[in-house]
Amino acid sequence: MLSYIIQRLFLMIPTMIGISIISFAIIQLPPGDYLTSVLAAMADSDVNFSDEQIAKMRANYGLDEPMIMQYVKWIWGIVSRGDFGYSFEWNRPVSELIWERMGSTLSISLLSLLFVWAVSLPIGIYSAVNRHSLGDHIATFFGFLGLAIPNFILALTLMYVSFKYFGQSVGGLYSPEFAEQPMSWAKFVDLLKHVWVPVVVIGTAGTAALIRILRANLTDELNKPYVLTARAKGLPEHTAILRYPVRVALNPFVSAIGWVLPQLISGITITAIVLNLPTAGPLLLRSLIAQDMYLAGSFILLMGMLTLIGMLLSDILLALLDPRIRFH
Amino acid sequence: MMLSRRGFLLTSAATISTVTLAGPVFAQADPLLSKVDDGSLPALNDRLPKNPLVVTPTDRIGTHGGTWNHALVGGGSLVMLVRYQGYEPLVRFNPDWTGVEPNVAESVEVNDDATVYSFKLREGMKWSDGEPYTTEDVRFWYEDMFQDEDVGATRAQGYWSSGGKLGKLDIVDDYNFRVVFDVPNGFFLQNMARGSQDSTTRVPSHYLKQFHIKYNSEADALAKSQGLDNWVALFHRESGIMEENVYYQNSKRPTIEAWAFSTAPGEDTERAIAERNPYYFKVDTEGKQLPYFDRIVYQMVGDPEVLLLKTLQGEIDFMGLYINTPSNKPVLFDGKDNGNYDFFTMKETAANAMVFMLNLNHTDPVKHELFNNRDFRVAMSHAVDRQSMIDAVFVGQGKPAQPSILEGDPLHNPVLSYQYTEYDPDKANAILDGILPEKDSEGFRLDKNGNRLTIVFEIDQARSTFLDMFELALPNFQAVGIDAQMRTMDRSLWETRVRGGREFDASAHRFGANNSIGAMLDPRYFVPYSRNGFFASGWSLYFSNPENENAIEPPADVKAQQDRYKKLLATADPADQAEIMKEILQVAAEQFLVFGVTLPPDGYGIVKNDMHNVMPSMTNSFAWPTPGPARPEQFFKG
Repeated sequence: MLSYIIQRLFLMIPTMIGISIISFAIIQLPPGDYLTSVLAAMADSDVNFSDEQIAKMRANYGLDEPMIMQYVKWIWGIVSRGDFGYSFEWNRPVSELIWERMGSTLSISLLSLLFVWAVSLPIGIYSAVNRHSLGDHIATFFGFLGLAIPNFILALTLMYVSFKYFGQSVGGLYSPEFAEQPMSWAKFVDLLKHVWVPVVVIGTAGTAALIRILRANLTDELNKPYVLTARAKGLPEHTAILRYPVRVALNPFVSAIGWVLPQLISGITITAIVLNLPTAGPLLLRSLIAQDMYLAGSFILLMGMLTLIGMLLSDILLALLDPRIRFH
Repeated sequence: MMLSRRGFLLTSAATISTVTLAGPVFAQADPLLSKVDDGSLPALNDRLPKNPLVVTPTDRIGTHGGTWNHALVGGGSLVMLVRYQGYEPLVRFNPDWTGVEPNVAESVEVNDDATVYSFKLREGMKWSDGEPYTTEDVRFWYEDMFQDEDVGATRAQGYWSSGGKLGKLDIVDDYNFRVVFDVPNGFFLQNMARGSQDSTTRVPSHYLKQFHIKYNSEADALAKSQGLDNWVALFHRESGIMEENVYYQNSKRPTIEAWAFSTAPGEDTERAIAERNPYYFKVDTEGKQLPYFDRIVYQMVGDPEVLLLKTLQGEIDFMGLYINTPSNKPVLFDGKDNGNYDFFTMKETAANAMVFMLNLNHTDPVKHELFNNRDFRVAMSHAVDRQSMIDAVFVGQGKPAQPSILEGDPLHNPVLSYQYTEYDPDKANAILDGILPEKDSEGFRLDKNGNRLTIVFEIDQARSTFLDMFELALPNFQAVGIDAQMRTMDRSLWETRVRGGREFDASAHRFGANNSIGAMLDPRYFVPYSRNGFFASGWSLYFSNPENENAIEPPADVKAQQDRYKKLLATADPADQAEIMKEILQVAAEQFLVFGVTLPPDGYGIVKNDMHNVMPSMTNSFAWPTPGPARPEQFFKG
């Protein structure tokens, strides 16, 4: 097992190099560069530059060098001193910007993940055990509704509801009066008032998928002879279901971790923009629009790395959970 | 104060009526008294210049304190900050935009032929860290930044030249300097007063010298320690002299503005906070130091819809950007009571709501010839049903017009405004039949080479009203046999293809100016002269630099028009200026290079009911950066 993990870790290195090259190249693909968008904004407000001035600014940003050189410089900074470069738009080191947003990003994402699991596990089991019952149909109906409604529409609707009927400040995680205060009980309550909207919005879409997967897997398992045997031996119904078939049906939950990790950063982007959440998603989108290439490149690199780690983690967890996998 | 016909002097007119300047009265009204008492700040009298600028409030004297709740959408719009806290040039536009008045400068004297401008600064004026603001700062900008080979010219400072020669800076003493031109420079003060143009009040030399190689031989090493290649890059980052965005991202650099950032945008990606500058150089007519507001808090919002909801909730005190679209007006109107705000008028200053531009410097020879045919442009103009666009997109507000000067302005030219604006497809067809008689089986006209005439309008997708107007305009063009199409694209691609290239067929844009003072400073639709004249980018380049490899020598009549504008720029006398501008507008009507849709309808902004001293009707412009010249330092809540 240990040698397997080490082997996997080594295999990650060439993949990472590939990811970094491709992501850097893709960021540079659109026409123009960061300076183009800056100059456009300034030209709109009637501040115009001569060609020599523009060339000088381009040189200051290092944008006049060929792409290969820019890439090598960036990668060398990361490898040699952990320096992910400088964000043009925010005028700050990339690593600072990313870390600043990590706390809120992780907590919102983990909260919604817990919400998804807390809702979909019991409902999935219930639906599988009571297939085609009224409860199953109702759960399926709402599940599909959640899957079908685009997140941002749901977000806008819930925001409107919370504005219209609860009269609270919309968007962000705190009301303006709490934004600058240190953490307190009142501030925590204010946070709870805000955080349910993103959690519900992000959660609903994921819930339906997991309910369906769990329902399908568990249905398969429930018909297998060992469940019959368990019941025949007189095990209580909840033990007969929860102890074995559910454990097997859980596999998709675990293998989902592989894509959950990068999803933590980019998956909720549109929702986060609509809800004005201080998470990493809007920052990533903004950096792509503005062609703020080191920030965007570092984000994509980070997401690539998280995907790889997530895959490894889910493989290891699967092996621990399900002895059959180890033999393959 | 209007410019007189001959040499003139600009000084502040208002005086303090109820108190004398000296004496302890200032101290009583000191908004930062507690800091003076504990010794962390000098007394108010020592913080103000000897002769502070006395501001007469719009409506009434205000009270100190409070927070101005504000918002910015997206990370890249810091260029907008000049409107709220960054408009402090040496001389500024007056609130009703009829002229220029002293601001940072105590007075300006201009000689008879507008070649010598003598500025007097305010004695004892200080930066927000308490260091004196003197002519040394002006010299530092001029010599060590503007003229420095490495730092390079700082942003667009074309108005410091006249007749192709740079004005000379002549320092007299700590508080007096002169700018001397060889050739009259009639628009020096007006240009200086435009939003974001004057750099002389933005460079604290005592702070910036540490990053300049001339004053600190270690500057290169300092830059390298911060991961930059050389001192120039670090100097640009610290000074922000090239880019507005960078200028506002530094809370360490002192400022003379009313509020100084304690948390600059970018230092925090969710919110920026600007606090009162204890050394601000303005007082109201009772001698109270301005600004009234203790601070401005900008929430950084990702999406305009969120800002709209926040405004409806009453979280925003003043907003004249992002959300004030025609389509949002009913929603905002309904929310007035709930959000406790009201509308103010933003008088539109753009030359037209949308200007159609055919690329007159097209790389394709067939289209080049066709677009340069004036009759073809006239036919296109007749083909457009302007009234239906006004009804659908601007809720009936507007009047069909070409890009032009408004009625009521002394330079209004009815021919320029209204020629070829009637919707007349028959006339358009008749003209086009004379130029392109052949048609294909689908009824589209064939060009000289026998190919279907397709004109692709390339449009920046962020300009949503353009997209709406084109939905109506495209069938208009198709009805007269022109296969007009629209291609929307992301702004950066649009910038590269349209502003930066010559391969596009056509595009559309707005801005420019519809009043005398604005149009003389920005005649983009009457003379191709700047990067904004992208309907003829080669000719525009020829205006500024005929040697440029992309410059194209314009035909004689356009060249004569460019020469007329050069003559205008070198003219000092206001009456002569008006005369030349009149001629330019007349020739522009004859040349008919671009055509428009409608006079731009007035816009609106929202302001909270408890926010005072905001003008009920303001110009909306970049040159007059709304509401900067309406003096946000005297806004207050109460």
